[in-house]
Amino acid sequence: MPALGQAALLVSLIVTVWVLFAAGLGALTRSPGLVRSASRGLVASAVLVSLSTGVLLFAMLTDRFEIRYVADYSSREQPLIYKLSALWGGQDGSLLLWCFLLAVFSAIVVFSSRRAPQDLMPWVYATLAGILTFFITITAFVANPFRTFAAMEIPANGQGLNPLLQNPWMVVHPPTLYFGYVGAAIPVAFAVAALLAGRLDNAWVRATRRWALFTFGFLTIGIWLGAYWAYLELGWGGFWAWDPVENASFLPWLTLTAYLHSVIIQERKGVFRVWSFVLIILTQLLVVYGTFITRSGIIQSVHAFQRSNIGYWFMLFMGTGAVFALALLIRRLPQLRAKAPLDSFWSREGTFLFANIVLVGLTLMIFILTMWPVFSQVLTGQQVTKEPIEFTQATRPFFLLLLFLMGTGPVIGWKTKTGAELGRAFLVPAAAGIVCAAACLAAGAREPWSLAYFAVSAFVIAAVLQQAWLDVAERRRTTGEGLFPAFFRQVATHKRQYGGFLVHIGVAVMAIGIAGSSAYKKDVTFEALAPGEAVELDGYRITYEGFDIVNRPDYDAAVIRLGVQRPGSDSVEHVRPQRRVYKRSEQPTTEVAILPTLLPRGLGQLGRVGEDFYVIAVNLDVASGRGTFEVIVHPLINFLWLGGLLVGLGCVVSGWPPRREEREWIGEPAPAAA
Amino acid sequence: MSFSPKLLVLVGVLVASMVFLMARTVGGAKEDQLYYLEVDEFLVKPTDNPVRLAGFVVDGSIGKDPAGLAVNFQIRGESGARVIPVYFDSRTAGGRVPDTFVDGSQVVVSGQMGKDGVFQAKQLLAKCPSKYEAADPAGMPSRPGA
Repeated sequence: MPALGQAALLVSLIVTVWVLFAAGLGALTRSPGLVRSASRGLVASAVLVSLSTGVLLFAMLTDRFEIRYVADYSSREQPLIYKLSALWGGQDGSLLLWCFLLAVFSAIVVFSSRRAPQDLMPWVYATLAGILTFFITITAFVANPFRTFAAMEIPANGQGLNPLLQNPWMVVHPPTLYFGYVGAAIPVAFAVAALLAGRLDNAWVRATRRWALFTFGFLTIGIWLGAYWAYLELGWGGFWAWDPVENASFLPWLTLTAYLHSVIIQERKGVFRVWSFVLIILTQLLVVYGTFITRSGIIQSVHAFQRSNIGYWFMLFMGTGAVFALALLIRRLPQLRAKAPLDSFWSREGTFLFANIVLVGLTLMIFILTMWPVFSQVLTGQQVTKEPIEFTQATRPFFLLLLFLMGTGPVIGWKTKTGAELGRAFLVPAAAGIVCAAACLAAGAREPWSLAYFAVSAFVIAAVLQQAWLDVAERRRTTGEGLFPAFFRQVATHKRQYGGFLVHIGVAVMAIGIAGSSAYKKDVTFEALAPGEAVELDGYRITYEGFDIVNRPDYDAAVIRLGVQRPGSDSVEHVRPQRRVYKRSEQPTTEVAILPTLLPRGLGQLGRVGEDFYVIAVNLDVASGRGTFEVIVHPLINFLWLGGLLVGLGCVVSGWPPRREEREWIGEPAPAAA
Repeated sequence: MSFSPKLLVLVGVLVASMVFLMARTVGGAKEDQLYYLEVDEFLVKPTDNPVRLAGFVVDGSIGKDPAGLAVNFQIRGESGARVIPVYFDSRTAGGRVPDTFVDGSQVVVSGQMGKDGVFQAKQLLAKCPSKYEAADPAGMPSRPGA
């Protein structure tokens, strides 16, 4: 059976090489026959790679331990869902999944090509085939998931998936992130095609707008899921640590964000065209860089990914891609220069330009700090690593500025405003920010950065809501509709704009969660409590009631019983943190227990909205029954999780397909996104 | 694209402030820099300055206090010929003793060498000793991003 998976992979490689050749030649000689053959080839390779992936999945589900990869990441007693997720539990399977997604996305591009600009398509196919060829080559020859044991060495059972990855969030986190990583290839292929074909208008941007949103949405949710998993499963009470692997996923997110904004200006005003090309190509390079970082082991990371030499293949691919893209861009540069002058910060273009500079600046800063162990080694001969707090200190003023710009954009709008008009437009949002900061001060918040972030977040939310209110009011004046019909019709006819608004609100809500939980977290470890003993933290009263030992097929657990009284409450709720030892790996893990406060219990408790009460069972002495518990009160943390969902929802709204009557517009200048 | 002078000044200020903060973050006094060393490198050139030390937990060397909050152990380099004793107390240092901290774990300790010849760790990171691919970042500093 593994031979079938490998054979399908090899045939798909031959097919993609043909596609690369046929599409390239077809474009140069303007031969529709060759291009058609290339498009069919892409579909065929999607079928073949799917077959190959299906074989590995089937082997995973049916415990075929003669395949090394299956033996490494699965075991007989592993629950079915984790047999499935073991497919991407390791490097080789992840790469196969990557090939699968890229091949399927490419086939979707082929099927939806009728509405795309035809002169670009041959080059799009060629570019996609080029990227696909690289990934399939690596999977088939360097990191092959179909390697088998010799007949004598086949193990009776597999090693099993790392217990830390046996968590529902970890089932969805990697594929979600891969959807984002792989999705980026589609706009990139169109950008490269536009440069190759010399068709430098907005056609490539319009054709890939939804792909770019799709990528952005999945990247956002993928990073969000990773943070949530870390928060729930790793039991260190944090969600982000500026680890190289985390940064590697965040860097393409930053450049993609800049790209999405850059193309709005490009479509409306015909400027920023160079920015758009550079940003989308940079996004793709950073995606590859992320794989290089995680796999090469060049930088110490707590994510102990299996080290392998594929990192250097990725570096080679990245270098070649960068040189190729740069050469293309330089060749087209004279045709891309914008003629329109940009005079004022207080214009839509002005704020977007600043947002682009801040985003690219932050990308560079985080890149340099992440790579500092390498750079310092080269510069001074000594390896110096940068601590998480140094990342935070260096970047937080600019994240704050970025947040501010997220509010100014919607307020300024497209029409040029006079000074007085601007003043009026900023009045309410600015007041909201000031009132918010004052209220937080009155409530006892003192940490300056958190106050600044709270104020600017309130400013952004107020700015967006004010703009929506004004739009709806305007609509009601002309149509005479009621408030809600007017609002929903306004959203339905301006999905792109209102999706963006929702994303901005979501990010502001996330900022509140991050700033609040970082600045006001309370963290105490209660040592060696005897059963029956009670302690207090920040108004919570915690009683250690005892523990139970639970034996499961794959692990043994000590389940701790804690009674918790929330601040000002008499009723006792129960939480059950656990300490588990997984049998196959003898790996101890901590299952935290969380008691969230989502709604306020009266006005005095308003500051506790979104708070988590979070307990980690640090140690349990079974003989004496004494337990050591770390208790953390995370104020506002749930705003972070809520905000992430709003961002995802915003992407859905923004990318929602237009209604039939609006479809006429596709291929024409995009409908106004005021 | 041409910019008005006013806009150029604004862009200049922004870029300059980014460069300034970066320079402050990566520059700084030599003794404030946290060097990253393998155990064997450290043994060749010991220092009293704070460092990050990477090595492996010597099998059977871990001693824990009853509450599981403080540990003493030895770390070795790749060769394993010589070892450094380490003490980590999560009461005074940051974080916890990570779940992945067991015999043979690959660890990174940040701290400095004490007068008694015991390395006083302020931070303890550990990776699984097995071939598992994702390790536990438990024990990371607990105040990330703002």
